[in-house]
This record gives sequence, structure tokens and C-alpha cells, in this order.
Amino acid sequence: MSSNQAVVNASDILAASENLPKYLVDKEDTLQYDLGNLTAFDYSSINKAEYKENPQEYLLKFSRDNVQLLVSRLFQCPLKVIDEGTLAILPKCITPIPRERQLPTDKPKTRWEAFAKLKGIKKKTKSQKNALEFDEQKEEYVNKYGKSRSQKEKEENWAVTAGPQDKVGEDPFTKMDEEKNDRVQRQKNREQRNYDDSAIRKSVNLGKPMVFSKDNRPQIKSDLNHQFDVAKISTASVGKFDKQLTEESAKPKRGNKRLQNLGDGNVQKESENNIKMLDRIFNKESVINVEKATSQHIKGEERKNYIKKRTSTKEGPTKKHKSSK
Amino acid sequence: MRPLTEEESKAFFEKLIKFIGRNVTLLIQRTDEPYCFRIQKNKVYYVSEEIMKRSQNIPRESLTSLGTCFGRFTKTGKFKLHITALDYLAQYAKYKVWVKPTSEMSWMYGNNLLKAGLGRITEDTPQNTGVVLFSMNDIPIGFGVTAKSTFECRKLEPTALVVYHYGDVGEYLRDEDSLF
Repeated sequence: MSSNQAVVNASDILAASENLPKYLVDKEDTLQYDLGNLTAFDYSSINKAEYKENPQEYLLKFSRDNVQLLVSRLFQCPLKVIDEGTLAILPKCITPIPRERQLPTDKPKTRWEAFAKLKGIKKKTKSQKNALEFDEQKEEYVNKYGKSRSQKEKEENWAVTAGPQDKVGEDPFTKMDEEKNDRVQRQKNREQRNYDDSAIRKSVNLGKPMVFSKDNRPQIKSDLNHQFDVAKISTASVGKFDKQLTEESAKPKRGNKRLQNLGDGNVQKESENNIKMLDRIFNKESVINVEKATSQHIKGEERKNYIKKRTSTKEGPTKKHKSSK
Repeated sequence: MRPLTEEESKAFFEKLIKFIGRNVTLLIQRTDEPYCFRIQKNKVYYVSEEIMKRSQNIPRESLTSLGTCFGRFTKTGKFKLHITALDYLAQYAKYKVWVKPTSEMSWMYGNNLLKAGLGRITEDTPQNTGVVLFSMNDIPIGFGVTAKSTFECRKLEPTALVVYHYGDVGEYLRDEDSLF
């Protein structure tokens, strides 16, 4: 409503003050335009004498003129006619718009990741590592590491060649086992160390004295609320059978569940996924799980045969019985 | 503003397919400019990538609308088309119904379409599918769901229902505040 009034006012002023056509402005065009964002900036200083006389009216007239300049500039843009009407093709934006959110921070690296970056070691994919090798005895491909590899090693190392460094009375097999256990233990230690490091990183502010300044109050309030919520569900019954205080909200608030698989904002990939989903919807009728269908068919056949056999064997002896009679 | 989850896009596309069939792919794979679907406060919008990227600067609570609103999700997860999607639906509609000038106004006030108002109808329109309604001079005026197939329509009496109302251009005036 107020904007409506403002428009009426501006045109009244214009009609009273000037006899120019309405789309012309009696003013030097010193604006800086950013048509892509539909904006114009006026860096010229205001006329102080006129401003003091009637600030409201002066500003209205001033901005009306500027808007008129902007609009007439818009109408000079190249046009494109479509079914719904005429469009002006705007140039690229000049004014950069600042980011709303904070820049994302890097995830803290583990010791190995930091070391690998320092040395320029890149993570290899499974195919790059040549994860499979051909076992000539078994005549099949087996994993070089990982699944069922330790089993293979045990099978292979059924005999150990003796060397000059071997001590008498030492079992080479137990020695191998010990070495392996040692390696496993060391890796476990490393994992624990990484875990501890990250826990320390998370609790940097733990143990520090609280600052009860006015600026910090909202933070303290939300922290306390959070701690209270955690305490409420930290009982044996997850807070179900605890006595409620008089003015206590029934259930502690928990964080919102994050939605998954939303993609990373890559529109092309998103549309590819959408097309895949559409294909699935379109082909719904023709989707048959071939394996399941064949297995069901085979099972049915087998069952039929089984029933046939049973009935025939049942009948068999009775017939014989009859014949023997 | 965020992309649609898997269930959401399934519900959404199934509804769109009712009206425009395989032409949905034309909405997703455009030749001129990449477009995408975004959801903001339950409403699904069809936006060009450029505008989408720019509106990422605006916090969710403050963002009122962007691009073309296609409809909204109900609290139970169903999708409802809004009349604002009519431009695209009319462009790609699979089955069309032309309304006689005498029943145009009745349709635009939100009533179902009777046999008496049926001017023309696409051949082989099945029962219970989405149709886009046009005035006799080919101006889209809404969309609905067929109550009877084309074949059955021929034998009907003039007071029988032919198209159930789903959305009409009168909503631009009636539901102006909740539409975009």
C-alpha cells in the first residue's frame, strides 16, 4: 500500500514541476549501471540546499529520476520476442554478490594423509594396484591382499626353507605368527592415535574457563540447553522413565536428520540421474528380474518332478503289492 | 532450497508423467540452457542453473520464490501441481481437451467439466489420465483428470462429468497469496 502511495506522489510532483514527456529526465546521466542485476548506482552528491528544504520530497524526486533512467536504459537492451511477451536480454552482471555462507574448511588430515600429501603419494584405485594375480596351482585369479589372502598365505607356507641365520629350537611358524601379530598391533595403535587426535581437536574448548560476557550469553545458553538434553537421554531408559520437572519440555530435542544423496550441486549429473529414474519409471512394466524368474521357474519344475516321483513311487509298491497278491 | 530426494523426485515425476508422458525428458535435457528442479519450503521450482546458483546466496528463510513453481509437496509426501506449471504442461501435453466458450467461465471458477462443455478431445484418451484444457482458440485454461475415456464420452448424456477439476487459471486470482 505504501509503495502505491509513493508512486502516486512521485508522478504528481513530476506533473506539477515539469512539462517534459514522462519518460525523459531533466538530469545528467551520471549513473553507473549494472543491468544484469537490474541496478544502478548514483555516486553524485545530493544538493544540500534542496534537501534541507524538503528532504522527503527531494529524495522521492531524486530516486524517481534515477529509476526512470534505469528503466529507459533497460528498454535500450536488445529484445527477444517469445509467446508470452517481449524480453530484454540483459548483459552479464558486474557487481559481485558476496557468499552467504562461510567458506568450507578442510577436513583435518590424519597423520598418514598429511605425510602422503607431503611426499606427493596419491591413493591408488584397485585396478591401479593390480589387486588380482593369477594363481597357477588353483588356476584362478586371487586377491593380492585383503579378502581370503591370509588363508592363501597359510596354505602356501606349509614349509619354510631353513637359512644360516636360523637359531636352533626356534619355531619359524610361531615366529611368523608373532611378526604378523606385531604388525596388526602397530596398525591398531596408529588408528587409536588418529582417533585420540581427532577427539582432542573436537574438545579444544573443554576445560577452558567460561566467559560470562554479554556477547557470549546466547552461546552459553544454547550450550547449556544442549548439555541438558544430552543429560536427559543419558539414563538407562534413555530418559523414558525419568521424573519430569514441572516446566520441562517432554522430550529432548535432537538434531534434524540430514537428507542424503542430494548430490553436490552438479546440475548435469543431477539431470542424468533424473533421466535414469525416468527410464526406470517408463520401463516399470518390462522390468523382470531374470535371475529370480528363472530360479523360480526351475524350482517349480523341480517341485513338480519331485511330486511326480513321490506319487509314482507310492503307487509303484502298491501295484507290486497287488500283483504279489 | 535443495535438490529433490529420491522419493520426492519419484512422486514428482510420476505426477508429471500423467500429464506430459515421455516429454518430461525434454524438461530435464534442454538444448538452450541447463535447468533443474529445486525444492524450497515444500514447493518445487523449475529454475535455470544460473538463477539457481545466484539464489544460493540467499538464506533459506528469506527466499520466497525462484524460477517457475511447479507445485508443492503435502505433509504426507504427495505432490500437487500448481497452475503456475500450466505453461510447460500445455506445451508438452499428451492429451488435450478443448472447452466450449459457454463452459469456460464455469471451469475457471473451479467446477468440473461436463459433457455439455466438451468441444473437442484428443483421440484415444484413456480414463483417469491427466489432460490439459484449452479454450476453443487454443489458450490453455487449466488441467484436470478424465472421468471417462474418449470412446465412452460419445455415448454420454450432456450432464455427465467428463473432466475432474485439478487446476485452472482462475487460481491466479483466487489463490494469489499461496500460489508462487
